[in-house]
Amino acid sequence: MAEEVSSQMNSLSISETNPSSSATISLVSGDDIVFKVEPTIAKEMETVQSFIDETDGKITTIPLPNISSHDLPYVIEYCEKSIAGKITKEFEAEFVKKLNNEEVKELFLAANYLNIKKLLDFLSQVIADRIANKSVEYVRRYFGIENDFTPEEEAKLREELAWTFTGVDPDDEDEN
Amino acid sequence: SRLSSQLEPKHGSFESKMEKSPAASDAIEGIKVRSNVHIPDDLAFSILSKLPLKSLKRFECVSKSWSLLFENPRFMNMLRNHFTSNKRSDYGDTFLFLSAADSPLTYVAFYLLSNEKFENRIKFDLPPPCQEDDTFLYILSSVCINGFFCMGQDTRRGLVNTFRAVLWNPATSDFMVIPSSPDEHVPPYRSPYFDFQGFGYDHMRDDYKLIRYISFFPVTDEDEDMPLEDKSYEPLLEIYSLRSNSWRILEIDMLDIRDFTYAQPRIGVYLDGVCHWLGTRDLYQIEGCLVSFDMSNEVLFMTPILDIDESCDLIFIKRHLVVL
Repeated sequence: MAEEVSSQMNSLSISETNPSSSATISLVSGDDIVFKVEPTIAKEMETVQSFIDETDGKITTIPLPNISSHDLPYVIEYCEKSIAGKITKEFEAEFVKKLNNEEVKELFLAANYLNIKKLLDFLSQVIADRIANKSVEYVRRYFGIENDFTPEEEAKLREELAWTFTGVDPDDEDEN
Repeated sequence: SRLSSQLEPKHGSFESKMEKSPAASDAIEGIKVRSNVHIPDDLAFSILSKLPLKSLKRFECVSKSWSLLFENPRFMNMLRNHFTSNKRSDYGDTFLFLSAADSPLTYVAFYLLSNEKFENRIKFDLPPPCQEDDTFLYILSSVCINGFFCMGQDTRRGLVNTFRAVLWNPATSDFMVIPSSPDEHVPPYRSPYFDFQGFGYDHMRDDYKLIRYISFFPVTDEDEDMPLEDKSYEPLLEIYSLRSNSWRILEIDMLDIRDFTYAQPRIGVYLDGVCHWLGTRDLYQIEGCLVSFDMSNEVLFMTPILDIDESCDLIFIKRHLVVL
């Protein structure tokens, strides 16, 4: 019962340079949504490309259980821009503007799973910028890290690093 | 529509899926559960290596393994790669070095500026070798490379000039005194004058380097029996490499660059693997030039500086070299 959502890409320029563009690749998200993309897009995703290569291109439907249908369109959009050589600062700023911190994290993990180096690199900088002024508690939650200090150890370390605790943003409850 | 209901659960469910095995079928199970995704260390490091220093130090309080980040060679490598990749965000860490050496009062202070407010400045203690005597301190090439500053100090004892450089990382408090070179004091018929010192990074060899221009003046009372023709007062261009931890003389023809003394301060600037400073191209110190030294290939370039007004007496011109 897979629903087909074709990517919103403008395939015109790609089909001109690639005559065999009819052989589209189907990417299936974890929640069973199918996204049809040009093979050139798949090339940007190393994980997908190596899957295609391993099967000598016979299999063109690729399940991506770790990627949700919410994230996949973003990934595809970024890859399209990347092929077109149109990754600009303006595009990147616009790209993440509407994403909250949790969504950026998901995309970051998706980029890691798909092995898209450029996107991974870009999103790690976005996350760094967004957590730079966050509290230690926020960062623990965000990274899913257990506090393994004893209260005494932590208090001591905080005292030593007191100079780093100025100008920290208050934790936002409705961050997501 | 069916589509929108499919898209409904979105990221809340997705997070819990990430922790499971990549099997799509059982992922649906966890849809309603919201849990924190653990970002693996390697990925976390790639984010942390892009943080400003102050944030990075604060997040040492996150966990035991994070408190040891600066001792983790893997992480330090990432941090260094990021610093050298030149892709740092504009917010960077800004340091302020204040130095006033008007005798008898001296004042030296080193601050980290944060949150764009001067009130939020954080004072740093200078490295121990500079604390003993904090006069005439300066930062070589006005630059911080991969977290390291090179503090320079010129002192004069009687007729003898000495130069001392200390590599210093304010974040980790690591420091190292750069050894002096054998050419500084011998032979005794001459005394060195340190015209210029620059600090830079060799991207090709992953090496930190210092470059300096030494000129010599005669010291008559320590004269030996050496015949005049054997004496050399030719200026030297010396380079220090942290990897070899030693100085060596650069065999570069310097007939063209005569003197640097009129260009104050003599510390120059460093940008993208090249040290730049001001010099003159002729004996009379009139024709100014920009001297640039490529720290990786160890070659000199010279760019003539056009004087604005020929009628102006050059003695009264003060040139400053800055990076915009």
